[in-house]
Amino acid sequence: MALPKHLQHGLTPDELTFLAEEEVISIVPSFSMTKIRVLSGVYGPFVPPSSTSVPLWMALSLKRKRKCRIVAPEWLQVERLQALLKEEKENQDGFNKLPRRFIETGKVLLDVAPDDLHLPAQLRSLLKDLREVRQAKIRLGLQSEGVMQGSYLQMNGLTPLELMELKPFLVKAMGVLQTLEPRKEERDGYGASQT
Amino acid sequence: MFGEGGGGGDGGDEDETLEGDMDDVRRLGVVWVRERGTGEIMSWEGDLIDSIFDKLDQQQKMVDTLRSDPDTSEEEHFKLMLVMTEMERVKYLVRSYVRTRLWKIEKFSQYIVITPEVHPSLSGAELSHARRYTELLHTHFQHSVLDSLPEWLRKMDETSSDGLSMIPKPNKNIPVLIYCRRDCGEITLPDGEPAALGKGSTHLLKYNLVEQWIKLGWAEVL
Repeated sequence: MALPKHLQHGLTPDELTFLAEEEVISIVPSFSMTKIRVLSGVYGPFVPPSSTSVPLWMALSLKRKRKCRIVAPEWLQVERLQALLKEEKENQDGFNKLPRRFIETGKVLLDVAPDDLHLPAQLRSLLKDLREVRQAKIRLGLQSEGVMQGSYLQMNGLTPLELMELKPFLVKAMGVLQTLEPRKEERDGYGASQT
Repeated sequence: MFGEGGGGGDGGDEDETLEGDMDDVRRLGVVWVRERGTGEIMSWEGDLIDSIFDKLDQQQKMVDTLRSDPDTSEEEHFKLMLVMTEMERVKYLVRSYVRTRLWKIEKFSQYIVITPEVHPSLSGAELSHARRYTELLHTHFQHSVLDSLPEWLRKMDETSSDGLSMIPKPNKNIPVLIYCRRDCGEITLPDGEPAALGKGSTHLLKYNLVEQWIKLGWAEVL
């Protein structure tokens, strides 16, 4: 098949990580190099100790060769995440707006460059907590009545990865609801005409 | 989410960039995600793919010359490594994009052949593939089974009394996930209720309700 079965339902976490790796991040290089031109743009020059912005994939590649230090994104700090977690818990009606690819970015940075982060173990557990609080909210939200209107669901504040986890289930559920709906209308119609 | 709360979250941040302002690689990313996220075959992004192939070609030539040149400095070699890494990433995206389309085309090949309206969304190679694939499939079915059946059971394009066709076609009712890069106004849902597609909001709804916004690039498929 042109597209393997497991890819037919939507993007996989690996593919989402691939997209996250196109996003730009700051690094402090430990080597000198002039500007580099790649297809997505021109990056550099690389002059230690000043920082420069590169796509995440390049940062990771340099990091694996011990040629740079990755500057943690503003949100990937213990205090910041603690605050976000607290807000997320307090906000019962919705989801906080988080960086679009915080799960993927957080994971690759913790895997590849834990030594560039402050208190990586704590960051890891905070990210996990944050994700679990949000997952719990999603489950709760889906249980509440009237949420599934058959063919529409508003899902503000969720990141693509979280949405992808839900999509196969929701699409299927909506399909089932759609097959049920016309009959319901028919029945209502009958009821009205008889009275 | 799930209802009112959550405030539209008009972050107004970097998400504003529309497709046209992106570089080719990031645009390809968006195009690929859109193709993966929808049930219908989207328009073939020929210009984008051509431009990417041109650039890949140039890069490849440059890489070849520099690699064979003994005077290339260590720094250049290091840069080449990065350039080649990116080329592989881009090639992967193009491959996956084309494969996704191929999958849809083979699934709906017969529908494509008999529906001239969708032909402009396909590239020449894709269209001729759809034609040949349908033909192959039909000949195969005929030779293996249909020829041994009574005449009246041999058709492959019948529509049964309940409107179900033998020809599979894209279902526009399949829901899609969209993120509104711009304010897409208000739409009316099939049950008559309105839904506001404000900037920065995310929705799961039937594809045919938001088709125009997706094609304009105002709503990004996730």
